[in-house]
Amino acid sequence: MALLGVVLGALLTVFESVQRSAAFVQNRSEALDSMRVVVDEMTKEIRQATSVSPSSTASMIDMNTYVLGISKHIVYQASGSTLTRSVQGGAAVAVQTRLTSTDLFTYTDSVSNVELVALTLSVNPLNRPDTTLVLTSEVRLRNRGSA
Amino acid sequence: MTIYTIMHRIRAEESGIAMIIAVVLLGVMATLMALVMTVSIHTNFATGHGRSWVQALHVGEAGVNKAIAKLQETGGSFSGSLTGSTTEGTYSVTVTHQTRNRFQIDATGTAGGGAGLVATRKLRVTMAPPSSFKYALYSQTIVDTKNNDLITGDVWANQNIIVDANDTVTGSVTAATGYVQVNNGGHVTGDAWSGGFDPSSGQAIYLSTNATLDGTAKASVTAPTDPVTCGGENQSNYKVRLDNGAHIGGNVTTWGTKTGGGTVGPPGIVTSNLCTAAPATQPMPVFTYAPSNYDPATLHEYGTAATSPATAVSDFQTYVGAHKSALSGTFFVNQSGTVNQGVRLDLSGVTLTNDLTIVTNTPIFTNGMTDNTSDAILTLVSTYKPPAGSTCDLNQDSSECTIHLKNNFQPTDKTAVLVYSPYGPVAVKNNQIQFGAIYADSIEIKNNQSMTYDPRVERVVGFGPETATIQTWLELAP
Repeated sequence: MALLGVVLGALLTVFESVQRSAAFVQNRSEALDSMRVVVDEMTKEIRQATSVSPSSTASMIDMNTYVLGISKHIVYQASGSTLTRSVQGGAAVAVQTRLTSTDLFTYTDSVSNVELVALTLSVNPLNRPDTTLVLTSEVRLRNRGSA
Repeated sequence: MTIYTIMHRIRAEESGIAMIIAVVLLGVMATLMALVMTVSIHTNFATGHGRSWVQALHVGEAGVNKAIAKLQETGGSFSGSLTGSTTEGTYSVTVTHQTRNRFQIDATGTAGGGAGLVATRKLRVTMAPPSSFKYALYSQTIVDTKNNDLITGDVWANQNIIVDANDTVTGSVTAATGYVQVNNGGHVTGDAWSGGFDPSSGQAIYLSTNATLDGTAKASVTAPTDPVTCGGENQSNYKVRLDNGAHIGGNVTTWGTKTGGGTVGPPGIVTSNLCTAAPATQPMPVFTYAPSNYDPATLHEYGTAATSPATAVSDFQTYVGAHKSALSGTFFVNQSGTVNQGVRLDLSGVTLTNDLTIVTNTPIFTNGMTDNTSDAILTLVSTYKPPAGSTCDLNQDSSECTIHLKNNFQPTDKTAVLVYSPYGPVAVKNNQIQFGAIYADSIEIKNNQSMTYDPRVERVVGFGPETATIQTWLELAP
C-alpha cells in the first residue's frame, strides 16, 4: 500500500505539472494570437496614416488615417497595462491587456516629421508573469502629407 | 525470480500494479502529447497565416507597381485589367482613368496555399499630378496687398510680404528672406515668419497702428552660420516693431528685440536676441507642356512648343470671339516674334462653362470674366517675361503685367482658378472674388479682393517633376 501511495503521489504531481503546463501554453498561445491581431491592425492603420500629431508620444499615437478607405482619426494609448483604441474621438476600447511596457512607438525622423514608426508590443501571458512576449513591426507611412 | 517472491506478490495482491502504472503514465504522456500537438498545430497555422497575410500585401504591391510601369510604358493611356504573379503569390489589377489626370489602381494580392492559409488583400492606389500649390498666394519676390482685401489661406514670399491697411489674411504669412509688414488695421490670423529685414528701417516684422497678428511672430536670420553670433548679423536689423494699438496674440521670437508700444499676449512670451534659422526659399513649381496630358477632343493648339505661328494670338481671339458665352478646353498659344501688351490674350467678357486651361507665351488680360459651371478649374499659365526695367501698374491696363485680372473677375466658388506666372507679375484689381491660388514672380492685389485658397488647384497636370505620383494608398476589404 505504501508503494501504491508513493506511485499515486508521483502521478498526481505529474498530472498537476501537466495541467499547469497546459494552462501556460494555452495562455501564451492566446496572448500571441491577440498580439498578432493588434499588431496587424495597428500596422495597417499606421501605414495608411496621412498625418501623425506632434503630440504623439512613446505610449500614444494620434493620427489621421483610413479604415477601409474612409478617413478616420484614431488614437492608440497605452496606459498602465492596457492598450486602448479610440476612433473619431469615441470611447477608448481596450484592444490589448497585460502590457509590460507602455513604450510602444518610436518615430523616425521625429514626432514632428514622422516617416517611419517602429512598434514594439510587450505582453505578459496570463498565469506567467515572468514571461514576456514581444512582437515588433516597422511601418513606413504611405500617405504622409496627402490628406 | 524465486518461487518465494512470486508467492509473496500473489499474497499481497500486487500482481497488476505495473500494468496500472504503465497505463496511467501512458495516459499522462498521451495528454501531454495531445496538448503539445494542439498548440504546435495552432501556432504553425497562425504563423502560416501571418506569413500569407504579409505576403499577400507584398504581392498586391507588386501588382500596383506593375500597373504603374504599364502606365509609364503607355504614356498614361493604359486602362483595364492585368494579372501576374510573384514567387509569393498572384495578383490581379484594374486601372481606371478618372477626371483631371487621375488614375485609380485596384490590386488584389493572394498568397498562401492549403485550407485556411490563403490570404487575400486589396489595395487601392490613386495617382494624381504632384502636389504643387498649397498657398493662396506665392511669390518668388514680393506679395503686396492693398485696400480691404481678404485672403483666405497661407501666403508665401521668397522676399517680402506687405499686408496693407485693413486687409485680412486668414492664414499665416512667411517672408523667407525678407520682412513682414502689416499696415494700419491689417489683420493676420495665423503666424508671421520672416527671414530678413527692411534695410530702410531695420525691422523684420512690423505691425503698424491697430494691426493684429493672432499667432506667433518669428524674426529669423537667413542661413545663420552659428547660433551665437547668428553669422555676425546685426541685431538692430531684426526688430519686431509694434506701433500703438498693434497686437500679437502669440509669442515673439527674434534675433533682435521687440520695440514700440504695441502689446503681446497674454501670455505672450517675448524672446529677444535668439538666433533662429529662416525657412528655406521655395521654388516655383515647374510647368511642362505636353499635349498628351490633355483630352485631344478639347485641345486647341495655336503653334507647338517648337513652332510659333505669327497668327497664334489672333487665331485664339477668333475662337474666343465665337465661343465667348461658353468657353472650355485646353488652349496652347505660342505666338512668334516679339510679344508684348499689344499682342496678348484677352479674356474679357468670357463665360467659363467647364475646365479651361490656357498656356501661352504672351500676357493675359481680362476685364471682367465669369463662369457657369458646377465644378471646374481655370488654369492660366503665362511664360511672358516683361522687359527689364518695366513695371506692372495696377491702374494701367497696358502696363507690363504678365497676367492682369481686372474689374469683376468673379468666377463662383464652383470654379477654382490657378494663376501661374513664373517670370512676371500678376495684378489683380477691383472687386474680384476668386477661389484658387496665384503663383507668380510677384503679386499685386488691390481694392476689395476676396481670394480663398481652393485645394482643387493643389494638383494640376503639367506642374511638378512628374506627370503623376501616388496620392493615396489605401487598403480595402478584400
